[in-house]
Amino acid sequence: MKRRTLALLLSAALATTLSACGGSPAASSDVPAGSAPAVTIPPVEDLTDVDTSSIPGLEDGVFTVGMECAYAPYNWMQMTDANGAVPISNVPGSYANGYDVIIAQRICDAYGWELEIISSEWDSLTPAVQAGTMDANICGQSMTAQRMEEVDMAGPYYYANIVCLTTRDSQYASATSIADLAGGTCTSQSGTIWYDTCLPQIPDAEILSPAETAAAMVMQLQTGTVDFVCTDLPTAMAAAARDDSLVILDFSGTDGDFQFASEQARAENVNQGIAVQKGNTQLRDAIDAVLSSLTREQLNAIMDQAIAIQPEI
Amino acid sequence: MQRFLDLLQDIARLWQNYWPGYLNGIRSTLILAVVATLIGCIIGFACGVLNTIPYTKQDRPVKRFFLKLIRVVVRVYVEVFRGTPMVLQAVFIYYGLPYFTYNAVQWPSVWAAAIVVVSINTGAYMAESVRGGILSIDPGQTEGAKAIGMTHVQTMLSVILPQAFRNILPQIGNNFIINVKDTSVMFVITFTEFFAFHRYIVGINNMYFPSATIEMVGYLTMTLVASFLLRALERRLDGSDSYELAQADPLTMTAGTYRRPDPAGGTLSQPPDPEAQDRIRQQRKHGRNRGER
Amino acid sequence: MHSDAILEVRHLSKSFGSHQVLRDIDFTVRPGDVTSIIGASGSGKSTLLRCVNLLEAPSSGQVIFHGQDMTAPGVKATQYRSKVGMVFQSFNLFHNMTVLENCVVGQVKVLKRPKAQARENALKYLDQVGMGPYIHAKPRQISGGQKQRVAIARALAMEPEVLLFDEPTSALDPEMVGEVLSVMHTLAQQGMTMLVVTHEMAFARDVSSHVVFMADGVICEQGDPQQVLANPTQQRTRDFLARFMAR
Repeated sequence: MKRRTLALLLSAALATTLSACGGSPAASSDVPAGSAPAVTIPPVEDLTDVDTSSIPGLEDGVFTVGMECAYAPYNWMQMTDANGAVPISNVPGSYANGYDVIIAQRICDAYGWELEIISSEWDSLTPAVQAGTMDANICGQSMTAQRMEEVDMAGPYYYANIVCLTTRDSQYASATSIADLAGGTCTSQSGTIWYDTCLPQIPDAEILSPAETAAAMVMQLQTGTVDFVCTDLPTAMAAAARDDSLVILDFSGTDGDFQFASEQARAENVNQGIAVQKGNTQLRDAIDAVLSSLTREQLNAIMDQAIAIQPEI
Repeated sequence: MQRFLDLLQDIARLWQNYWPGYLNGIRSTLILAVVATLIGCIIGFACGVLNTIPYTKQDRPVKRFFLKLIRVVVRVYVEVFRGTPMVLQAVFIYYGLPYFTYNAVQWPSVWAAAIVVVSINTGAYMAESVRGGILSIDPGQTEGAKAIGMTHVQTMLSVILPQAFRNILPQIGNNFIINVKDTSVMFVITFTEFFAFHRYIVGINNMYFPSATIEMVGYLTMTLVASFLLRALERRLDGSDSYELAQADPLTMTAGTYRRPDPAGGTLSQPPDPEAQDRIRQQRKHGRNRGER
Repeated sequence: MHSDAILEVRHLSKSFGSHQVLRDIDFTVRPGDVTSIIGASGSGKSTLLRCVNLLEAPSSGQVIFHGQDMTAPGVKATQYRSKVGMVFQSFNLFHNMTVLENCVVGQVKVLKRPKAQARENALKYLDQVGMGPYIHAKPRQISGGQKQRVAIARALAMEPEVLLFDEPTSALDPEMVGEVLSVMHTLAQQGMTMLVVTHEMAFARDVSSHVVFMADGVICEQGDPQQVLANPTQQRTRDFLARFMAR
């Protein structure tokens, strides 16, 4: 009995370390840098005349979409249907929402399909599409060459720019190019292009050993261990939404951005797509038809919308 | 101290917002663990019995061949499912079935698939436990049963398995508790139970430790209740340490030395008086306390 | 030739691997016979008994029950065993059952008797061996002598035609041997056909109608107890008896 109490106390002590970086409420007024607030999102196109009954998987008119429902702001689980959330079919009483759900709903609205969302572990999302259990995965997957050997991908449906995240009171808060970050102490997640390729491009940067998870990486920034971290835009936006002392440095589209060997290499890491079963070109094209009507800025505006409706706890 | 208070406060907030989800998760976890453990036990007992059917050189070659074949099949089943991660088996069974049949065969529900995966896993572990349980029973028990003409199946069902069951009950408890916790990997095939809910919470608000505390308390409650119930069952099966005499011991057969038989006699001892015997018979028929209340 | 015999053992041999335990065993059991099988440890007595009720399959030879060869292919050993009771050295009571259940289960499962009748019957035999008071006890709760008496009642409850005893008193504390032998003695007097492997020479002499002396897997000498035990014709029998009595 005594030992168990001790274990609980220990975990409690550790708990607060983490809740320090996740517990602060989001400031809705804090629109992350890099988004364009002036953009309006166009209404959904009406494609209901298109005959989609011959598309494999859509014969029944139900668009079955797989996602984790645990990867905010792309997708998350909530307990009510607030803000247009869609029931998670394999979790009674729970609803999915987020950027991926908004996009999935747009596709369904365009063709008059019914949307079914299945929550699944990240690792088995690809086999689920290969097995036809899911019609598509909309879950923030990068369009890497390896993945596209296994599945076909529509999109991009989001451009996850590579950005840096720093603190508001940092001397790097006003940087406009990676050259301005020179000499800073930094880190990123292990096994990512951000750590392996991006950080070394910063002159004289002192790169610490990589963090295991996004949460650990953000914690190092919040505790002052590093001056800035390198990650993708949605991760940065999600962190900034919960902690208004964080600011995002997005150099994309400028000469001061991180460089890649080729545009293809950049696209592989930035562009995020919607996976469908290999060979299901009809479904891929149908999804692309909806996505093609949205600009990059409009997609960013949808992401802003998603972050705005993300529950506080 | 402040952090501990924060933790409690965060747990309260999480519980307030998400308690139906947590409870739903516990329900799914428990149903899957109980059903899969029960089916797994049945599979394990079936394999254990099939695996221990005796055969001798005198048996017909067809019978020997089939019994050997059964042993090989059971062995392969046990080794394959015990020797590979359940999470991969789940993917192969749930997604592999449609994938390799070109979507011709789909599972009716994820529940069915999850129960099948966890059951056959439990069965593989139980098969070895049952085999060990059967082997641990004194061969004299089998001989005693055979000597009164019982068949292999009768011997197993009436004599060996009840004893083996009692012996492996702690193992069954172990398997159940492992199942309660390990069903969390079934999220890989979209089965959402108690632990999956923790991932949702962390995915949305990063409140890792408050949610983890709720999870740990939940799991501990489930496993403690299971342990308690299993102990109670063990005690019940063991029966009471004392027994009631069906009558006052007439000391007809107390220890003694062998007496040379008296040439005229044929009785074991002095014959009990018929009246007393009749009373005893009545007592046995109607219970000791009849008429005493 | 032996039309009145219950049990005939003909040319029975048994080998475990290359080790031959029994060689060309031949004897006959008639109704009411009490046959004692004696001999040194390792002479094959117990194996012979186990071959008789087919707990061990004989390597060659026949076990003939009422003129029918039980070792022939297709013969159901289980039916045969239900008619030939066996009492073991180590009792082999079912640990998961009470004394009463031990005596009921075979009648219900094998003989398909109704439960009430089986219970009545079991009580009768338990009374006969003096274990009536202990019907609710579990085997672990009673003494060795009591266990063996229950084991005898269990065998009797099947109402067998022959009862085999495999050293029924060898595992007992000396003060408990008597109670078991008394029961066996009574059974013999009631006319039960018995085949007893034993080291109790007094029992063999006083109770049995027939004594078989075994040595090294063969029957060395058999016949009337007075003749085998008091005036053995074979040197080996004399040596055995001399050694045994000297202990």
